[in-house]
Amino acid sequence: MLNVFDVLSLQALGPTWASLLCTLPFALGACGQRAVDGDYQGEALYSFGGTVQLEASALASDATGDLRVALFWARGSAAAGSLFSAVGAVEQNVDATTSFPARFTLTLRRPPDPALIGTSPDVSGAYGVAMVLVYLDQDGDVRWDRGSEPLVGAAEGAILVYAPDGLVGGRFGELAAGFHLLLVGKVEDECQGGLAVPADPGTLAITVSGSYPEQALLDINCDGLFEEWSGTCPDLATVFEDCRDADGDGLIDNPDQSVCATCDYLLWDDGAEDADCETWRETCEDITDDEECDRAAEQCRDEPHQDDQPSTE
Amino acid sequence: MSRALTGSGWLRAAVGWALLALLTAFASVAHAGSRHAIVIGSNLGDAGEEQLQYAESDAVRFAEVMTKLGGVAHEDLILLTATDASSVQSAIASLRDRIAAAPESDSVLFIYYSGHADSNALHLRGTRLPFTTLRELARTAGAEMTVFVVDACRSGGITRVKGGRPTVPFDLGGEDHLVAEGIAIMTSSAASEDAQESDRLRGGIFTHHLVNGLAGAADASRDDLVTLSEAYRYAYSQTLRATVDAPVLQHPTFELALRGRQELVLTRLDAASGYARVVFDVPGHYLVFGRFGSERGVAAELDAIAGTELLLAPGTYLVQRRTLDGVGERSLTLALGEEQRIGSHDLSPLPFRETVRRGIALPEVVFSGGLGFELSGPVMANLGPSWLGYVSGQWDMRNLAVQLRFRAGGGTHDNAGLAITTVLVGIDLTALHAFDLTHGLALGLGLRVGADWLHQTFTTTGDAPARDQLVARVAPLGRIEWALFENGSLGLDIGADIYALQSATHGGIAATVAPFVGLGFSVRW
Repeated sequence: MLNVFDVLSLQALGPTWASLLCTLPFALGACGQRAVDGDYQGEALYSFGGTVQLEASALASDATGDLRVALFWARGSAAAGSLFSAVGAVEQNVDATTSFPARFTLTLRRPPDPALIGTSPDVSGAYGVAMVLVYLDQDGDVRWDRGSEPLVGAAEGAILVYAPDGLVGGRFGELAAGFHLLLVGKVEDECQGGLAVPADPGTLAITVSGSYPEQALLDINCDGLFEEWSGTCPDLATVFEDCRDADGDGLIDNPDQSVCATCDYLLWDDGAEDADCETWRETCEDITDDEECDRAAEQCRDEPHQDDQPSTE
Repeated sequence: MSRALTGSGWLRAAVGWALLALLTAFASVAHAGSRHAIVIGSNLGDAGEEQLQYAESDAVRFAEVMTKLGGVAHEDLILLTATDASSVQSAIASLRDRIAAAPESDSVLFIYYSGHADSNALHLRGTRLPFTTLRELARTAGAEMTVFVVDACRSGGITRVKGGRPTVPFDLGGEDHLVAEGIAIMTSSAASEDAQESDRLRGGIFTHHLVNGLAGAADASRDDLVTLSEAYRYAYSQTLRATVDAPVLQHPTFELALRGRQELVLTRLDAASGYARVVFDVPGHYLVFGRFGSERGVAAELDAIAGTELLLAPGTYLVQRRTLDGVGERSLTLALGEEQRIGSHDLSPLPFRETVRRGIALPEVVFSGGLGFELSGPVMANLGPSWLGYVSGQWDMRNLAVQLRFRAGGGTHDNAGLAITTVLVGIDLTALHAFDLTHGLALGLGLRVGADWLHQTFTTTGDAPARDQLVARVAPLGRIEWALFENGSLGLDIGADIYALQSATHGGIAATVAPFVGLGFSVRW
């Protein structure tokens, strides 16, 4: 579809024709509420923003793609493990090649998917929690591609809470129905009863460190794990590559890779038996896609078992 | 007693019909003996009189039918065109010896005139030939019977008429001109009526139908003989019908005094040479178009009954049968001496819109109703296509068709965030000019203007209230029309709607372009 006004210069038509063209629609109609095009997402429900600051040497000199700010919702039900979803997130491009700090704004036009809304014993009312993360959109598709596009920054200490009916309790105190941008303290403080406080929706600060923002993630259910953010982990192959020891026969956290602390639950124990591999596979399938887990489980079974370890004696 | 052609045309016609009825009832048909003819045509009359277009060609046509079918030998016919009064007098005088020398005693002299005249005289290129002189010349020519045929008018009119101003009726003779045995007078119009020429017929209306009648159309008895009464009856009815829509009706008149003579046979169809024969098996009003040089014109227009025959020169013709319900036509190639019949299945029906556009159908405005559907591009960017249905009414005229449509429909679009349902309900008016192609196809170009109620609703878990707007649109379009049958056709519309609407994207009035394709069916109402 063409937009005639983009193509035609009304001035070039002369004042008479330009006046006629401009007046005719009013005379014939074109009255009422403005029509929307196919990209319309609905009215804004909540909007917030802030700045993005790029740390020195955060990105390799040969890094390609745009930095994008996105909203990542945690899986609400801890019982089912963790799940990543970007449903409901609205992304805004932040050009990494231009001057930083750069401003960003996120506008939410829909509530998160119901699957991302859950409950916890200490809170009265269902809610969902999201964090603002930054990734490098290498292929330019405006979507985070797990496994190939690294998460490189986060709005540390800030969470977005959505309570469809409002909530009371826990670290949130009392929140009305809707979205709330909150500032939280360190994880340890939070799980020891520290209260979140409302944040100014226009002053969020994001730091792009260039590495997986493990320190920014919030332990929502205070279980000491971060499974609720497992969806932000890279694919299994990347985790295995980054988080296994050099000879490949052990599952050792690699201190050089921040992702290993958060995502090590994706690895199986050293010397796992076939039954352990099957249990791991079932857990894996709760977290990520079945095909990926099947391949990894087969690799698990092919590895030497504890019983197969040659005696050093 | 004066026998001048005075009085009401209707009264004169009634008298003529009564006489003809008697003749038909009691007279046997016979063929005259020697036949002679003076045929005069003059486009130019007096100075100041409008020049006629077809008076001289009418004379040629009459001369042709009389020599080929009327038993007049070429040497016994004198054709005078673009002539003056003295030449006519000399020509009539020159026939006197030939008539006297003819072995048959039952001689007939035909005197035909087409041109300007007034109540006293023929107007011939600035000269005048008084009717008294003409009558006297005819009387002294020595023929047993004289038949006058005068295609001239009395008064002016809107159409090109054979006279300059209203005048008194013809007076072809004195008190006794019908007392003398064997005089018949056939005129093209009654008192104070116009005798009219027709560009469509390429001739005088009266002469056209008289010649067609002599060529077979008037042979009501189907005995292959066209008698004086048959010819008049046919020419009268056809001329009257042809001038129904003219400003002035034209009533041909007929006076005769055969005094016991048998009915006069004017033409014999069974002895025709140089002709082909067309037989109309289906009654109706027919037009036969032929080639006149590089142009096509009406060679014959006639009302046929079942079995009516018409003699035509060999050639290619287009025959049309017209009724109030439609028009059928076929082309016809006639070889010398050939006979072809035209039955009900021989004529291909013309699509009703084509008949209007070609100006060959009555009424001149035809209404058709229709329905169809339309696939339209997005009203706004990225909305996806819309499907619309419509009902329509169309008025077809000769040069323009006007279509009124009511349409409704819409489309849905899901952008992964929400689903947008767009509904359009509107009315529009299309003006279209169509060009007839072949095989029932026509191509039209036009412009459509209209307005729609644009209603957008959204399916989302967020907040997106419905939106309503009245939008205007204009669309250039092309149409391919295909006649499925005589009174029904399919139309394929291709064009682009240019909407003027309030756009949330542009924050005000915007123009968007949405191409469309539509398919509709319409049937004559």
